[in-house]
Amino acid sequence: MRMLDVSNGFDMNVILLDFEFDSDFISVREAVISARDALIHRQIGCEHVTKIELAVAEALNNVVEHAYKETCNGMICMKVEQSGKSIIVSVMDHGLPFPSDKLSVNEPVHAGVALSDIPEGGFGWYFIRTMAENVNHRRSKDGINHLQMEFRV
Amino acid sequence: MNLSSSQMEPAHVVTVDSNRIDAAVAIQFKDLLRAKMAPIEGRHILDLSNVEFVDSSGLGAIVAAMKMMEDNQTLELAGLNPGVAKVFSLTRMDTVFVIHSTVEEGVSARVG
Repeated sequence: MRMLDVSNGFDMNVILLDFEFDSDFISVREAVISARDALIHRQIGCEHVTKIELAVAEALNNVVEHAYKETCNGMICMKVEQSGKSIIVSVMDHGLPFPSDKLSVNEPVHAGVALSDIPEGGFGWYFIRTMAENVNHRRSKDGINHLQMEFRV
Repeated sequence: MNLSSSQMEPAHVVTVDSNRIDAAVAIQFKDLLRAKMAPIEGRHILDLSNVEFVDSSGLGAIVAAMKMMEDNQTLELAGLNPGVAKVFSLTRMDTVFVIHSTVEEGVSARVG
């Protein structure tokens, strides 16, 4: 008996995780661990799990800090799917839009940099872009921010 | 978030007893680390062997602790697990911090 292909005619999308949680750092930690455990359960290789775990943590932290300005006043939806050789993580929130100007991104430091010049933050987007093969974000008409990250595994 | 410390001459070793340094605990971690380090001059080694996950908040807290040191103090790192080492190498913070594979190796190293 043949399996029915229901999505893109080639590989089936398997939803590993799809849930909603509060926008505070403790709930984010639990969500990151849930995503990690779902990937391990799916037997995704541990190097890939590590990179996805980091990117997801950064993306969710960004929602708490920037979309909701740490007011803990909103929900975050996260979906983790496997599509063939990719893991796709979608994050949705109804907070403030992404800033229209360039997102603050700190690049790696260089040897010999003065101690006072070493940044203490701003690496989040750099990690996301380095770990994920594809990243895109948009804001829908009903005021929902959609972030999608695709990881080759 | 728990830190413990011990004197392992010639270094003061601060061990992170938790397995994640993330946004949920970064500020608390930074404050605890400063408190552990402040009274003691000389070499400090941060033992991260129990830590499996550090995100940019955790990294920032470690950097902040280093920047707050007095001139008579240094901070080195030891026992980075692979995921944590990756965070340091991606940001090239491994060129800024002295990193030892184990605390023992760090304690016996000559750091000039």
